[in-house]
Amino acid sequence: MSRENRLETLLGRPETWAEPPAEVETRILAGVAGSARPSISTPGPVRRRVWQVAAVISTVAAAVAMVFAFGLLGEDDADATVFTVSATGETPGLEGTASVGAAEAGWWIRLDVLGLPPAPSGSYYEGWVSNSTDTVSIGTFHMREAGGVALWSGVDLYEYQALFVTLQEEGGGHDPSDLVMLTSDFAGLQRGPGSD
Amino acid sequence: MVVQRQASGRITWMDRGVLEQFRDGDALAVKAVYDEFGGAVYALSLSVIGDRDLAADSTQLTFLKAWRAASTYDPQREISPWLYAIARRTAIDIYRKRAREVVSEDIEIVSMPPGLDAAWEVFEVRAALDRLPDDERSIVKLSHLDGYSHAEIGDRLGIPIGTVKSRSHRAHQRLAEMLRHVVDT
Repeated sequence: MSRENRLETLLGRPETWAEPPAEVETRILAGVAGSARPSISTPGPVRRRVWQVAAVISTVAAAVAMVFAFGLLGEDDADATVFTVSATGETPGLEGTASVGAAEAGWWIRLDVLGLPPAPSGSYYEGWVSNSTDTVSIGTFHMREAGGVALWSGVDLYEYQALFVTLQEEGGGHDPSDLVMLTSDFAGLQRGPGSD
Repeated sequence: MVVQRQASGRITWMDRGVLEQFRDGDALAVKAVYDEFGGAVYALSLSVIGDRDLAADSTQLTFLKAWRAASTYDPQREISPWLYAIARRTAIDIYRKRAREVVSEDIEIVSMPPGLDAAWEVFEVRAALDRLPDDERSIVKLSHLDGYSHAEIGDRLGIPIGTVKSRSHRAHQRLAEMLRHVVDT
């Protein structure tokens, strides 16, 4: 096969042109932000870089975070603060916890909830944090695999202390639905000695 | 941005400073590497696995593995082969895991994915395509993937056929240069 034909064959393969879903980049950046990796960066620029990273991730995510299995990313729970997750009228009997910790950029949030069923076909769960003026998505999930659910927030949880999870209809828009499944309150989140 | 020609004739385009930052675990550099190679890793993964959702998972895992192993990466070397090796291994693992689940958990599947032979080519071609200027890339796509003639592309894009031809010519020259190591193999 000539060089030209070989190149033409390669260029005609549909997979060559396939685009990754937009959320893949968000997942990766959130994984980087939420996981511990031995770093050889010098201490000086790190603090500044945290905010650069936060800005990048916030832009990429467009205030929408990601979901990933904990077995995949393995957050460190050592500095987590654990809050109770409460059921609502939609989910009587559910109980669980929300573990919250500061990541290199943003915050990671892990939900461990007993009894939350997989989202019905055509729907998904979405986590949100809010304050008196604003509500921000922290990720979506389906509960189709066992284990905890990890979410990530690019906004400061000292400022957004109400968490809730809604059941969303696919294609149903970008605002939280009225079907609130779980709630939690991070009001007890304490600023650490090194926090701004 | 530094464009460097390797002894092999390949062109690499990642700035050395970015690659050093990547080695140091910098999240901004991870984003830069993803911007450059995310499409190539996904295309490779899809080629090997044949499933878009799993290919997305494989892409995610590839970059997280790369980030975690970045301290072993030498920024003086091209990142593309190093990243390709991680992506290929990750895609094979996911393919085999799914194959075991589909067939039987008791049966060890040792066969390699049917799309593996083309994985490297797909990776390299996609990485090269993503380096083309947008106006040239769109013409190459309309021509090779969608099968439009130059005249049809001109109509669709609202540009003269002569412009289509010249952009197409330039694009193929660039691709031939960037992919010499692939098409000569």
